[in-house]
Amino acid sequence: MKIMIVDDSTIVRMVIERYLKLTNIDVVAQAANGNDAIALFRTHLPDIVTLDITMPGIDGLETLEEMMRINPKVKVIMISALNSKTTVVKAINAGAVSYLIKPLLAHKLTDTLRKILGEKP
Amino acid sequence: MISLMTHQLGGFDSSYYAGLNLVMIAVIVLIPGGFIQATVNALLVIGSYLGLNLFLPNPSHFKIVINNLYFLSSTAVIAVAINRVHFHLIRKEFYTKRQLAVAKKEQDTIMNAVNEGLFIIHKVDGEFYIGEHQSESVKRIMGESFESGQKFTDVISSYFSLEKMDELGEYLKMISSKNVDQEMIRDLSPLEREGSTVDLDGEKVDKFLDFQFKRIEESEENSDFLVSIKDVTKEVEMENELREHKIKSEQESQMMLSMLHIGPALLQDFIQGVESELTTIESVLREDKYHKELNHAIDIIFRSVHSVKGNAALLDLGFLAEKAEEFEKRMISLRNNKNLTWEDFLPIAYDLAALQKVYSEMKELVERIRLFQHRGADSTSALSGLPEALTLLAEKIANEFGKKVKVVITDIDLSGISNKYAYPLRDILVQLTRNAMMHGIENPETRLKSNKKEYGTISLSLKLLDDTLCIDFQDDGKSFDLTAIRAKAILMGKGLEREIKDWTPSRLIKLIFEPAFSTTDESNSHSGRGMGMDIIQQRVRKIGGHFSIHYALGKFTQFKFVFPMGLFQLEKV
Repeated sequence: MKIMIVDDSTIVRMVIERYLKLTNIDVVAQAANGNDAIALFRTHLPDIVTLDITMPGIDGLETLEEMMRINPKVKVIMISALNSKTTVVKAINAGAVSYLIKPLLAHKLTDTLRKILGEKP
Repeated sequence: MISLMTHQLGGFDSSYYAGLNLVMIAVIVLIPGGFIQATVNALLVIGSYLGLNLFLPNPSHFKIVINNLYFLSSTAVIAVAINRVHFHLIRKEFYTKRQLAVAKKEQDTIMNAVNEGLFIIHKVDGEFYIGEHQSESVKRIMGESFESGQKFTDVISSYFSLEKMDELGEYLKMISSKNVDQEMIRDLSPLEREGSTVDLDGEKVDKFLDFQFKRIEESEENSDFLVSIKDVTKEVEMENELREHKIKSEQESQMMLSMLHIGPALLQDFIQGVESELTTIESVLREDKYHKELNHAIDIIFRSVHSVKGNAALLDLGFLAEKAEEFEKRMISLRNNKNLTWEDFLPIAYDLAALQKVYSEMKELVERIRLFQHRGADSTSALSGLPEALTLLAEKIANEFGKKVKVVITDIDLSGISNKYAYPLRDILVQLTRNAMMHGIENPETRLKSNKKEYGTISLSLKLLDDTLCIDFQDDGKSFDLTAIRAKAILMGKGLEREIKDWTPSRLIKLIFEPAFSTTDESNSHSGRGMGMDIIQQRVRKIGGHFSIHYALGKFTQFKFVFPMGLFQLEKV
């Protein structure tokens, strides 16, 4: 299972990566903005992407749409602030499989990943 | 009569046979009553026929009587059977009707009693139509009942903006999708705490409404959704009021900030301090060596956050203090967790990112301020403005906690201290001031009772003597609460209870410099959570000094610091 992290905060990416390593999930790529994310997405073709909705440059929603065009089967988890509900709805309609509210809690991320991987909790 | 007819007309042998049959069935069936009544009726008919034949002058032929008896009894059996079935049907219908009436009444009661406006929308060919039933509250909340069969979006569109309607469209599209986990999307309704105007009997009323949707039938094309509408006007208004109040006090703080003339140097110094703390936190998250000792890592992060919080509060930078406070709260809960794992550090990254964001915004602001009010000499020392800030901090806490205080600062000479050491020094002084106000200085009533002046006094002197910097900080409060420290030591299991009882005051006082030791349970932006005194120890070590404590219980506490001069720049401006 290949996963990619997209978030404009270096520290957030780093900590998610560390956490996922503990759960034996390999992070194949990290990106700090939408453009990098799409470029890396093409080369690495991850199965799962955690995608921050608010980013400088092209935003999470556009990035998601582009990713869905490249690989419609990708499972994208939107990472959102409490007040971006509308964007979350749009993202789900655009093909995102789930969303998580910041700050990310480890067990919620685990639960979501399990759900996506079809494991029982 | 049937018996008579049977007798007179010949019964089984006669051409009236069929007619008689029907008459008998009709009589037995139509006479109300149950199975027993019908049987009695049938027996009466048969009995009276036999009687007629026995007592009338012209009895029928024996064979005819037998035939007729046969005919009467078989018809009676059929009639009784029909009666029984009929009776049951009637009874069943009656009960069903009654049950329906009860159910309807219950439903009406529910529909009339619930506070929420409840109704069902049916999805047919991509459109949502309003269902048959709805609760009374729909009218109470919306000012009108929604007509069944109408398009839901048409009805709702008069209440909300076009933009909201677009969002609603997206939302309805999402909840209709079979693949979407209903649990996951529960909180995403676009019509949550949404402002709208409704017409209540001709009067326009502004309201805040909550619309929730719950899918009740699983099928992509034709599904039903339960819609519930809640009037949340009161809650929202109350929250808004609180928020306004907060904004107002924040604006006051901002005004205070500008009145204070916090020197740009002080701000700059503050910014540098925050940056160094944020870097510390980041390195803890980044470097592997900390991940072996998670509790130690938490302590380091906590100290940094606490310091940011304290200094933000000192400069009245409410927004930053709040963010740091949130961060600190998370650290508290982590610190109490004995089985820390690295997973628990995930949210910290977000708190740090949030703090970093506020910090960079502030940094930019400070840069602008610096450019704007460049004031030469004044801006060269990072500690300029500190005496004023400390006085203000003491007065602010005094105000908040109903205390009175005078701050006396003498011999202060800050100009020779390099910025590198200014920040730790300020941390120490801020912490001491806060500590004196929170734990030392009593409220005026208590002070008067103890024959003290109503006003508490904090005195500070900062002198450069040859090659040494000497700081003397003193307050005339009640000094250490040894009973509370002892109790806390026992509670925290610092030793055996009977031994702790015999501990000397100086041994007890040493405890307050340990991480996570505080005798005050409640925490706010002024008091620490046991990290305060720890910070002093840390900072003193950091710049290579030492300190001693002198006190008299109930009278005063004095901290004396000595820092070797070699540490400081001597270039005076």
